[in-house]
Amino acid sequence: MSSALIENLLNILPDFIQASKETGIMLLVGLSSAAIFGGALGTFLYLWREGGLLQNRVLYFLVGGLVNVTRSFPFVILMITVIPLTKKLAGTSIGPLAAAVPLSIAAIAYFARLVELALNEIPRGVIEAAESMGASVPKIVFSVLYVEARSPLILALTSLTVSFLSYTAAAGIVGGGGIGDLAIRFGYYRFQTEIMVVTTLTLIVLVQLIQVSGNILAKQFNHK
Amino acid sequence: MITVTNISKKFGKGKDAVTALDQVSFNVCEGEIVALIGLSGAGKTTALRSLNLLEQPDSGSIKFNGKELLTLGALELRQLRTRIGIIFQQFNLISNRTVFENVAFPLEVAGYSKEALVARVEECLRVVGLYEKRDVYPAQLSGGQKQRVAIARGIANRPHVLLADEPTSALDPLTKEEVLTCLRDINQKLGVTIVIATHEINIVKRLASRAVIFSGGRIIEELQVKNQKIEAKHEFTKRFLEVA
Repeated sequence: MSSALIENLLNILPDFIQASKETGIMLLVGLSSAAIFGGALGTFLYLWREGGLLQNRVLYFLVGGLVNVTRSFPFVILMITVIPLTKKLAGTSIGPLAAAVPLSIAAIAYFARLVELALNEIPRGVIEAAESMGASVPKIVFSVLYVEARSPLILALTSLTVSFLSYTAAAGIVGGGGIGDLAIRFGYYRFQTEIMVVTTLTLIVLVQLIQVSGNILAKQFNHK
Repeated sequence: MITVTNISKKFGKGKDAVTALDQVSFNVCEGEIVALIGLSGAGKTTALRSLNLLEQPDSGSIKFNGKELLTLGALELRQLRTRIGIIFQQFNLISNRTVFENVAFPLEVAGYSKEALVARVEECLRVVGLYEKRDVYPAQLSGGQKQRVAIARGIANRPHVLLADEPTSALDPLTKEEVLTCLRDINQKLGVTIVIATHEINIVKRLASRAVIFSGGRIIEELQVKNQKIEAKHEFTKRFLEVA
């Protein structure tokens, strides 16, 4: 009984490694675009809002609305909706790179709001002090905002990573591959419960690792 | 040095508008310590914050060394602000920057070279007596030390004038003394002109040479401080001096 179980698991090892790579690709692409584009978008939303350093009601309303619309889509529907764009960007509509396109879009919108929230927590007086010393907006963004909010920003990225680990599983449904896809194909369709258990355990451990490292990093960078 | 003429400022619009400043005029002379005093909501803080345009007056004129401030463009305003230091009641230090890095901030803005920056930051930290704390983060300092770091930051770029918005109001009596001494030192030894907004009459008596009394957004009177005493003429000021 137990030797059959081990054999099953050994048989699936190559698939498991392949699936881990696919999950890795999806996460890496999704998170980098979220960090760069979502980070920039969130910063602009913060600067454009009422009383912000670059207050602009029209842009805040339009871009904020776009972010909200994107976030309203159930992820599976978003994936299907953006297939034409996916084909243009990734050259195909299946595989981890293709799945990374809707993942990135969802991640950018989600992270933009998280960044806006994190920046909002900075006391107004600190920003005012920088303004009154003649600092330009870019100087304030990079030397005050990102410095004061770096711990909340690290935690926001951590929580984004955890959410998107489960999104990558959904991406498997439309041929994205990944660990979640493996669990469904072998564990669910072929009734190999042990594989379902192993993959789920892997995901649980992964989530714990991500959260704990995020917490440690955030603490390391906080001097408040 | 600074001439303020008939500035007015309203907060809010229409019926809910509150008049913060109503035709206020005063001036600040080179090298002096002038105090803007009054109760909460009297307009002293708004008047102080108008001097570097943290509040933009609705009308009137503010001349700084002959130059009109209210018509400055964004870039000119930023350049002007590098020459006006300011400290706040809540210190407003950057908590994830060390003491050294906080004092360095205005010098980075002003475009100092690396060596000049290090030398000037160290000089300013010595002036406020916190050289040993250079690599410490603000959270590890007492309130008085935080305000002294803010003073070092305020004078780092050799400003013509230092604005002080309720600089001792968040401090206990002992640390008030520490900040008071520090402000007097930079005025007497470095010749920095200081404008201080406060409701603490003791601070005014001990530090200032002149007091401008605010009430309801107007200036009631201007008084000389002699031998740490203020001779009030106006009824309101007499009452204020008694209770404060």
